[in-house]
Amino acid sequence: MTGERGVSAVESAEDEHALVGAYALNAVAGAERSEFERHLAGCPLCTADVPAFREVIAGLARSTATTPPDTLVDETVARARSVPQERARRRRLWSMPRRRAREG
Amino acid sequence: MQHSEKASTRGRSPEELLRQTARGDASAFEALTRYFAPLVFGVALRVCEDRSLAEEVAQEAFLDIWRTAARYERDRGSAHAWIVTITHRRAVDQVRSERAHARRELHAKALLPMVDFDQVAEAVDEAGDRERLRTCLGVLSRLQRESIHLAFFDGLTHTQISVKLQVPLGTAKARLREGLGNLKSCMGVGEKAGGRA
Repeated sequence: MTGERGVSAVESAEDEHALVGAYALNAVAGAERSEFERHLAGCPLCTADVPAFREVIAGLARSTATTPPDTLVDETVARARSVPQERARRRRLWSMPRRRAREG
Repeated sequence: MQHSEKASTRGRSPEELLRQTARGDASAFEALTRYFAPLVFGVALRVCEDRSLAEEVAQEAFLDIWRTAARYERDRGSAHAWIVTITHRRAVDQVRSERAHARRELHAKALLPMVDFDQVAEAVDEAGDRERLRTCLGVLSRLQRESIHLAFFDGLTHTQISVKLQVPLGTAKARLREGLGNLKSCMGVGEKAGGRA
């Protein structure tokens, strides 16, 4: 493994791929996130990494499991009754829900 | 883990429940919600550090799942991974908008002690998997481990991580990517299913 310092010129050449870990961890925000998603759409390397990284992350997440409030399930199920579902459609990549306003 | 009669998974896998949910099956959605409630609430609570905020985030995450279940693709990964990603994204979006209003929060949060990564491995049910996760976490460098930790458990962006760890931005990005890559190969993720374009 390389040292913890001393990256720059070499790294900037592959800067676009470099964000793939941060992206899988939801550590990329705002415009940078959308920008990376555009890169992702055309990058087979990153497209393969994202789901694999998310499996790893899901493994780490298990340690957080906590008894939820009693109301959580019932309230959620009741709220879902008034939420329409999206119909299946062709999609790209590993789609994640977006904020409702962005749905087109 | 115990589940109530009416929302039992009845031997159905989470992926199957998700597929049924996508077809509008409300009882499958209830079973799915009951099954994932501890994990979804737990992720939200870890990131938000506030029970009522975490419950709201968990509900919103489950409603996202209900709404967009048809987008889930089995060959791209497990239901677990899909659900954790949706929940975590909801949670970090929530805390980031909160922190934008109260910058002090970030500083307070940054002083929290790190969760011991031993606990992370401890939480995995199956002994073999647990051992493997422990071993794999052990092969990460300190910077890789801390970067992943700050991103996932504390919901920091890569920019905030570079500030917190006092490393250049490119280094923070690289350590996140390498750390996940190391865990992935060490744990053999992507060898059985998913992970292919």
